[in-house]
Amino acid sequence: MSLITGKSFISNTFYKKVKWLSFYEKFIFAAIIVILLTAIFGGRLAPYDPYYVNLEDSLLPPSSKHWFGTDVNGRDLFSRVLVGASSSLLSTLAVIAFAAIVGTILGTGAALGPRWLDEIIMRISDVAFAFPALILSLGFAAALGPSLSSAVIALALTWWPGYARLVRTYVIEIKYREYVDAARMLGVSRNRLIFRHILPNALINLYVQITIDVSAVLLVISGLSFIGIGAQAPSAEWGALVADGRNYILAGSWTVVIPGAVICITAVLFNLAGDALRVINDPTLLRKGEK
Amino acid sequence: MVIGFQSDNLKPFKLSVLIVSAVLVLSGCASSGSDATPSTIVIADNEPPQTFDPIQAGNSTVNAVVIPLYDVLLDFDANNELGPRLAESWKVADDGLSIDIKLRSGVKFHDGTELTSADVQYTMDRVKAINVGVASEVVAYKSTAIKDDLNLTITLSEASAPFLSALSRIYILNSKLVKANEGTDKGQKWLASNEAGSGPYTLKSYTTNQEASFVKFKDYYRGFDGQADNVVIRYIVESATQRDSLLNGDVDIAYDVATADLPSFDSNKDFSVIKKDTLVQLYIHFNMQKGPTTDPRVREAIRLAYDYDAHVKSILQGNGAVAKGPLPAVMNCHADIPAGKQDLVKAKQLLAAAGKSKLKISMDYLSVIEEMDRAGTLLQSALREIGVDLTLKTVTFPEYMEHVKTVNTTPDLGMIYAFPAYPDPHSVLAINFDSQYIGGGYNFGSYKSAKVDSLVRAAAVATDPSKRCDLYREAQQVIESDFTSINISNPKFVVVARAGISGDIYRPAHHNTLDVYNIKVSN
Amino acid sequence: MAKFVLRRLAMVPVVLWLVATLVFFMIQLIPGDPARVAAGRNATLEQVQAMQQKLGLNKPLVEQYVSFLNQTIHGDLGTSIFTFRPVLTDLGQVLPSSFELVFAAMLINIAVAIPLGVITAIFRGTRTDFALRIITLLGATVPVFWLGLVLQYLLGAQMRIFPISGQKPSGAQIERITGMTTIDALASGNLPLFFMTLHYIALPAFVLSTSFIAVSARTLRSGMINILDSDFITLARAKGISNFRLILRHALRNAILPTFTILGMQVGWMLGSTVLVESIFGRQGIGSYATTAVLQKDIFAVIAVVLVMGVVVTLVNLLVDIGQKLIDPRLRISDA
Repeated sequence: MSLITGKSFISNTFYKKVKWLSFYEKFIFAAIIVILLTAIFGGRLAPYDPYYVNLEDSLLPPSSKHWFGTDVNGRDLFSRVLVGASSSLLSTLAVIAFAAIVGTILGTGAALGPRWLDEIIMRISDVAFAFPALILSLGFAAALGPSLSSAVIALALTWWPGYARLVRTYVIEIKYREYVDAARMLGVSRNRLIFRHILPNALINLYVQITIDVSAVLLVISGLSFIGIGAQAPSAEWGALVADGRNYILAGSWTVVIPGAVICITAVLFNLAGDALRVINDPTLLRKGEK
Repeated sequence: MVIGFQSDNLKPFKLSVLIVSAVLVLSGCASSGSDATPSTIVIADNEPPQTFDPIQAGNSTVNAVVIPLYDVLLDFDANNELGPRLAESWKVADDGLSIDIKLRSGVKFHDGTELTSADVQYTMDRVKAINVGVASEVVAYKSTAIKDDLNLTITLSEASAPFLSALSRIYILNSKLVKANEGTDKGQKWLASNEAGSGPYTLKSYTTNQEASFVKFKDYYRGFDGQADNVVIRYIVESATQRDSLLNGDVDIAYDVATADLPSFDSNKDFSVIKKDTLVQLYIHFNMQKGPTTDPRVREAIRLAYDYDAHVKSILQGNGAVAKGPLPAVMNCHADIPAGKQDLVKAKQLLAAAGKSKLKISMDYLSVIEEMDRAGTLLQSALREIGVDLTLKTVTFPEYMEHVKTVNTTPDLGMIYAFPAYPDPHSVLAINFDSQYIGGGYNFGSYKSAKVDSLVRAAAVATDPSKRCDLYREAQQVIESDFTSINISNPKFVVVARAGISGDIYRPAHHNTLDVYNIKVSN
Repeated sequence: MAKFVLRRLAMVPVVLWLVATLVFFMIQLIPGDPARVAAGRNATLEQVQAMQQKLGLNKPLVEQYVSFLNQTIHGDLGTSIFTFRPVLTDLGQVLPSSFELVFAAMLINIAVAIPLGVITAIFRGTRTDFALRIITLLGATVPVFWLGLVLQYLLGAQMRIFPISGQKPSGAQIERITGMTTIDALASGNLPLFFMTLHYIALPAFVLSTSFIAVSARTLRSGMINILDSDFITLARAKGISNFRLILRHALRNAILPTFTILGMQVGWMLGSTVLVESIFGRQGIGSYATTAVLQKDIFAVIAVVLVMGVVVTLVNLLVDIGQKLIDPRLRISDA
């Protein structure tokens, strides 16, 4: 039984799995990467200034000049969608990052610590898990004032239990693996054990959950911006775009339909990607007809 | 278990699902369109009232619910003529320090008691004691002397030309009823959700933030002729929902249909778009005592950045005009001040001269109102062009009033309308620009000018109309030269009503409300 | 079993205490003078000072915390600065409407997800399975508020199949018994009116349920697939039990447990999602109440909503846990 350290283990297995992707999976992952790139560079790719109000061009339908048309303030919708990708996706990733970090700490603590700690953390996580994220966000918005950051904080506070549970399960499973025993027998210190051996193997599988969560968190964040307690004007966050267009659905349906469709498609892609990753991670699922 | 999957036979379950859905669809067909009773009018408004206490009737959302419930001594009609209501006749003394009033007899409150001088005295004294809301319109009030049940004399601390006009916002309370529920705050808490009026309608119910329901008061002294038996004001925040409810027949009149949707109602013969001239002006008031806006060059620069023409053309769709100076253009004694015009080059120069090429300021505005929402976005974009970063902060009117109570909480910019309570320059030039109204009244920018104070106060007590006009004209010039506010527009009042609604339903003196008593229904 | 219930009940106050603590922490975050905010718009100086006394803002933090807990336990959640009534009263008015909406949405959820889960499990791998799963995926990933807007516009304003907003036709009088318009209409004996209220709740309930149907269906599908592969099913088939009976009696019954758990969690999440659906459809429930309160900066109202939600969610969790034990006796043994 050879000792496998964290780093080489990750690159080994991941590469092996990636080689066997089908066209469908490659397409989905490519789409995801495009979306993420848009989130990072979107602002620079925008053909028009997404914030410049030009009332002469109010509510123009989609055309070759304005691919997605314009909103009631004459702003090019395509540019706004590109810029909004940053707000929507980066805040989504912030929520997940925060939740994953907190969840990992607490989940590891629950798995490796004393029994009573496990019990407490699990109980708290049960309640946090069941508590509707939207309501907690309202609370924070009321206390801190509506903003994208208060929404992110609030959502992170309800999202961590998923990660805590996952990490806890993985860590417990790995705890009993032979290579860990071997390492301990060899005298590897406990910290080194945790950080070098246990955690990397536990966390490696989180990418599935993270990908699926992007879909879910995106929907909630855009929802919060829609009702006015997330991103504030003139943010081009996708949910805010739907809210902007809401009163003009009669005169300019594209102002509502397009941003909503963008949210939907992004959520679908990340969801499908998550599914694909899950199967890649554990091909035994295929047999059970999960795919 | 919730589902009856115990048995093998799903047929009865499936059958019942089919039946239920059939019934739903059929009942849907039956309930198409509006309600059963034809004499109910449903009005859609987008902001619920903070209270039902008439002392806050300076706020149009409160005024809207108070108008059907209460009466005033004198009132304005749709043509801005001041006429008698509860006061049958009145006489102002020669020195202007007292007014003799004779009340109409036989007026009943909703609980059956007669309206007498004691009620007028109680109402006026209460306004003075609490000193909020409409109190700022009647600061000259000193006391009321009762001669008998129908005769009284109001004494003023100084002659006040606009006093009679201001009485159109003093709604007379049933003193016995309010006294019985005074509590510790002179009945403010009780009147927040109860009424003590004598008006044409009584309050049937109020579901917080959702619906206020009124029903005809049979013993109303003016009688009825074609008015609806029931009036419902429904609070629908989204203009899209208001529009859809109109189309669907759920609502008969809607205040807040988006301007982009008006053309489709114009061409629809089931509806009429009612447009009326108003006394209204949209302003942005600068914080005159604190922050970057204390520099007049900054103020002038910001004023020059705005695209006034686009505002009227696109945002108002032509329903209105650009403002000319601090006084609404239709009022008497208007000074010769030109309409605002955009000049980005000069604006940038001014900012550079002031040494503020990268400025960060914020603005309070009532984004729930479409004109403000779009104006805010337009201003934000325009200011970006000259290097100013504007943060928009959505507030409600009560919140804004709270913010302007102290200079420290007053925002750099505050976008607000003036809804003059009567067609006299005093209602704007004094109420919004006299320093005595800072921190509790409607001087939104904490503007303090000794010159303006003396001018408008002199005009308030002057008896010669042309002299008054000269004073007001001079005041306007001073206010304008101080760049006190951005004077944006004089919008028209636009509502969409279903065909069959008629009557003089809008009065400029009570902006953003409908004269419910004058809404006539014909099916 | 009784021991289990008691132990779980004992956890309830602990959890509620945690929620209350979190809420107290949130109140501390409020910038500015809370007394000013609480005293309301037109408060005089004396009123603000009185509120300061009441909130005990001069006292040390720990004392404030204790009195906050004390007040909360006694149901004093403060007075709304807009309605001037105790927040609890306001909430009592609006909560039933949300319960009604969630109940209707749950009915749709169960009615659609269970057949969907079963069918896709049985026909797994076929085109039907694929097609149905695409539809449910869309249902899960379409933004609820967007779907609500679009359907409201298409089906409400354009095609006039459903009403736009509200809970009952305007002018209709329904005596308030439970606060749920449908139940109250039914109780008043006015059947046409009852059906009309159903008509009003149909679209919002459907919109609310769409995102949850996918998860429930998927959970059931996984569960069913696992069961159908297992030994005792093979045995049952060998015994000659008919397919239909097999599915319902044996497979479904055993697969229902994880689905039941998920459905239980979804009650809480659905209540949260009412925030989006209610404001679109003009329904007066806890969701629209909370949204209005936040936008009007009615702090006490929002705090109260968070607290009440915590209570509801904890109770639902408790019921789900107990229900789990009732359904599956095996879980009773491995009691933690």
